[in-house]
Amino acid sequence: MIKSLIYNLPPLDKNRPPLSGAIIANVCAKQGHDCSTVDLQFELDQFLHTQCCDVSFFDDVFYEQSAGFSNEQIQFLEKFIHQHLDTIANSKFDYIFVSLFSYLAQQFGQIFLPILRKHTTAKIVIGGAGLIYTSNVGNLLSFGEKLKQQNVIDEFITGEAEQSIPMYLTVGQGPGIGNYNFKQIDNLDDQPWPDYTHYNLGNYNYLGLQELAIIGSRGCVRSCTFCDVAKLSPKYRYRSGQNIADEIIHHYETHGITRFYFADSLVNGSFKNFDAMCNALARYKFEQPISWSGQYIVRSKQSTPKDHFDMLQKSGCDTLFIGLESGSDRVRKELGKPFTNDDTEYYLENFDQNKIKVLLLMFTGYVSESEQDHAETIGMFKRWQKFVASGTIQGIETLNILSILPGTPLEQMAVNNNYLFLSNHKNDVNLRSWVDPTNPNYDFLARVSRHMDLMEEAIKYKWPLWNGALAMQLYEQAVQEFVNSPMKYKTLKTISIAASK
Amino acid sequence: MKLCFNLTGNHCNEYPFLTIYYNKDNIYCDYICNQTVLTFDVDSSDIGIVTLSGIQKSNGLDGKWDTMLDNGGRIVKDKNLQINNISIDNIDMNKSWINCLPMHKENNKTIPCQAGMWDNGSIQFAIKTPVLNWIIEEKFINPTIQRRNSVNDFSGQDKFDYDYIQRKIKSIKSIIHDQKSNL
Repeated sequence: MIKSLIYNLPPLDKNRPPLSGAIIANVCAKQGHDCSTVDLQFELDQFLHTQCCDVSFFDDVFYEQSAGFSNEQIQFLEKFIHQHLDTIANSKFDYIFVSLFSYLAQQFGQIFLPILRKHTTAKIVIGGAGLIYTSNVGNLLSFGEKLKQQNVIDEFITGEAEQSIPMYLTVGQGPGIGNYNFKQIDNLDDQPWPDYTHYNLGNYNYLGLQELAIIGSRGCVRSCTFCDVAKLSPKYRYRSGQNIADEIIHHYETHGITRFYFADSLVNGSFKNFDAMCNALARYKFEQPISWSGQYIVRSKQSTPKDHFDMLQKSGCDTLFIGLESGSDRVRKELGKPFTNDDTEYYLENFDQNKIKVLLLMFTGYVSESEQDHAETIGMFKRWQKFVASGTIQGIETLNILSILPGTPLEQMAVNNNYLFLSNHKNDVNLRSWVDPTNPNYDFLARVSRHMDLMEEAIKYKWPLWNGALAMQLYEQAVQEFVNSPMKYKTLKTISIAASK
Repeated sequence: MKLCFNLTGNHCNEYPFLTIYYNKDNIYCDYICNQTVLTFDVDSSDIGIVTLSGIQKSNGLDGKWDTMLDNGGRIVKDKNLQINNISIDNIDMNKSWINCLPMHKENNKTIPCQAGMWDNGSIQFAIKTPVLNWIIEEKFINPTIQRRNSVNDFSGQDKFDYDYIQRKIKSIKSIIHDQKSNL
């Protein structure tokens, strides 16, 4: 029997088993493989514990794209990787599939994959959303292409595992196999559900009750200028509401899980299917009540009747993560989210009445954010403090000042308008250092200053700051690096040309 | 400021009697019969002290007991007052906050009220302004700090780690200021 091993690379959510590994395991099992899985985030945390290191030892790199591992961290990781590989030395695998959840996993992959290569004769195949993080500018080799050229991996796969892995295993080539021309799956209802029996569910702390991730849709109905989801999944597709509800019921009946987290970009992209899922969950007679959380979009209040919120509550909706992005209607509209503060308030009032909690996702420093826009964002803290007091607003995500990410519409705009970025001799780019040459005073430090205003106002009105301490630690480091940086300002075109030589 | 109490008075011989003061003003003085919602508009002051005093339980005075037991010693009737909810300016205080309100008993002991007045005494709390800040502190920040102090492996990163964040803000502003001064 063909033996496959599936790795998930850090950084990953530490509190629940990885969704992608559970999906790949089931895909491989359906190909007749004998599958094993390793969540390297979990293994790394265990190793940190045994070495009496703080679990945040790698946070500065895992959550800060411009930082690289220190020598001390590299030595630690190499020790961890060698020790881990020793534990599987006697298992002879035919294939090793490595999943990178986000671009942040590339840094770990750069250390892990060359060592893995030396320890195994298995074919090493990498994939995941972390590979799609490539610039649209110039002809730079992607992460996957570089590793393949260096013979560190046998192949990289883009697109969706349910389609790409069987194609790789049977044909060895095609859309998404060693290229970025992947095809999207049309009918998600036909795909296997994640199989969590490959993970020890008792390993995770879940921050409370056991919780599993599920995914009901892929892509997004919006195409926000700062976001690269449209590159990863150009067409928005969704499973039928009944199919999603059936999966939740399956995990409930199989594992006794009562808490679910949607990994979708948004849970309510399709009104019809979302309503069908909520109604199916509300109808099912769960002996233990279930709850679910996920990312959710606000629409105009006219398009959302009050009974929508009642339905959410009855389906077990617990917490919604809402990409508010800014307190300015103008900025929000320009970046691709045409809902207003009044719409948001209507939603907050209805969430409040139905005991549904929200976490607001925000960032400071949109490319066109004016002082007036900034003032409107500041004003949000007083206006909505009552929803913090009621417990409806559970927090505000404070990690972000705008970075212009590869593959996003903003990157193209930055190219067209000759935005400048700090870059070093290796053509590494500091993605949040961007400056519009027509507005040179609005540089990274000006944006950080605005972010500090925002944090101070949040504290004045006692808002819960999600990742607040970590954000400040990272920004202090980023500002230090920025002011001491030997990097030079260049346009993305210049960097791209230099890098391709 | 709007104060709202959702209470249930349970009967044994008679219903519990409740007096409510806001600072020194007597704003309620009567029996609480079954589920009752009391709403008051009071002036916002820097500190508003709310006192609930009751419940006139006889405790054997003149041979009268306001608790009835069955043959097995189980309570079948009791004169008491349950606090189902307290809201301030339409914002509900949560159950754990209500449970922890201090009940000063006639014997001078103070115990958590456990969401009710099961014996004679008074429950007192002080509402400070700005009211929303006070509500958030009472409901979320103080319990977080208590939990932090009771857990040895506190990571230093919770949602209300304001002291740490403010120190970092100061440091970041200082770096930016120095950089601008050098230009």
